[in-house]
Amino acid sequence: MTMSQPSSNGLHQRVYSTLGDYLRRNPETLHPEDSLRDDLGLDSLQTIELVYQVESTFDIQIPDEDFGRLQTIGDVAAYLDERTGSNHTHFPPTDASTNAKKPNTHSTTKSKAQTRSKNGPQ
Amino acid sequence: MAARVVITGMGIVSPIGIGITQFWESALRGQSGISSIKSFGDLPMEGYRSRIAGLIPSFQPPDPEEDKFSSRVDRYAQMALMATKEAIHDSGLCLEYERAERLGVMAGVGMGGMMMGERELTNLYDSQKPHRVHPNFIPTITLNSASGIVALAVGAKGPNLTVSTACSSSIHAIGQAMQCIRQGQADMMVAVGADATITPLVFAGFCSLRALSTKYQDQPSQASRPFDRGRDGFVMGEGAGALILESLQHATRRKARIYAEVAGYAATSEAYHMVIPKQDGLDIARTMSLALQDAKIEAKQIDYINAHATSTVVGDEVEVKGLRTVFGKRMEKILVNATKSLIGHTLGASGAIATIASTLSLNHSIIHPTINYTDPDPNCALPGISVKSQKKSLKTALVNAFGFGSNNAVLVLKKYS
Repeated sequence: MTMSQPSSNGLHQRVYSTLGDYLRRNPETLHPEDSLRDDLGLDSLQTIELVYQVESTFDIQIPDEDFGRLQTIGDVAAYLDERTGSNHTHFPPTDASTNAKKPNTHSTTKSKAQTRSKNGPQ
Repeated sequence: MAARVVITGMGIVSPIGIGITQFWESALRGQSGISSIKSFGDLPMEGYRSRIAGLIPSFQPPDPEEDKFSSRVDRYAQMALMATKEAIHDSGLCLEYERAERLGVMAGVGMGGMMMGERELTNLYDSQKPHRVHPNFIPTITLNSASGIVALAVGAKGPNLTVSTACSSSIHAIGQAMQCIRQGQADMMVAVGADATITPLVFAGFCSLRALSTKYQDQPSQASRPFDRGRDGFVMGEGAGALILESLQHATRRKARIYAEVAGYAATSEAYHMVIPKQDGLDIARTMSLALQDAKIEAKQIDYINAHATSTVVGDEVEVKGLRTVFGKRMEKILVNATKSLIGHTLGASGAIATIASTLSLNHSIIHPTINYTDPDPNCALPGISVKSQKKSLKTALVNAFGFGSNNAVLVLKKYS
């Protein structure tokens, strides 16, 4: 899952800016195909920290089952594109508290996670 | 026969100086490192009974670009790391030529990573989002994060342990590091003490315990006054002290400069009270006697004592009772000082910093003043305490530390010959 880095896209600028902040690198030096582990040298804890940073910036929660798919910079950007863009059906929001407070205006179908959040413990 | 253990390097981060040279110059001048706490974020400071501490505003962790370790740990461990680096450099050890398996780390830590702990707890309750707790929270707050990061940074693959016995933590750390070398588990040990928990919650806790000085809020430099009639509690401080301990054989083989020998150590419990020392001072006396016995030194041979002396009403009195029990009339001659008069009580760092001060005293034949000792309390006054530096040829020193949890620790140092 890789993609180009369109400079005109505000979302992608935020993604690369967030990654650049964590990595202490100029976002322009990051490439979609950069592997978090092999090219950027992140260990598993650092990868978790980076994803945490992304979660905080974009106010989402990335479930464990999606976490393993984030192998490259492009993976992260594409994932966020899908989570925060128009195509939400593949990666439904899982942040129960966010869902409770902020109805997802982008999603047209009710996800399992959203259903669970209503039925789960309050 | 157990190996003799010597000190070959020292490093310090303290409220009166970062680095041994600055610390020692300030100490001999009698400079106070106590100042007002400006704020705890938005919390109203008037709600705190005490509003002064031994802060180190000039301490800045290294740029993460240059030091990949510091950015991953709490302030106390950053200080431990900085002190350790100075101590390693001071020792002249070339770690690339040493066997990593023979180098260990023994840290003394009282409170640990409470700074991040408090921040993350606040964020959790404010945000109501458990998934916003930082992933590095657990590795940071564990009490062994300092010993862990120090071991990583210096590549130590020997024993890697943390002793947490409140205010006596780093005397125990030095003592246990000595034991590691004596028992042949290591040739070199980093013994480091650190704490940096002048934080809204911890500070409030000590206020609630009514352990802190409150009478000198407008004259912070006068608040820490061990043995003085006007003392009314301790002053919290932050900092770190690190010592490089080596077997004598290892140190002499590499022609290291030897500051002093760690000759004796004792650890005891009073099994009495979690925060109050036993009034008769007998367990303190017993601990000192055991340390002297371990060092094979008689009480009459001790020249100088760096007292625990936190500036609490009860604690200072009890310590002097213990001293009089062990040293009797000789207490009229032994030089005594209290490093906490200068920097406050740095908790887990205090024993290591006191040991550094004592080691420097043995080397320079001078002890730093006990500031604010202007109205000696008859219940704990001693002729050997002075508000001025005192010069004297010193061959032996004893360092006391007592901690919450009813525990006592004593080190005996000898000038190396």
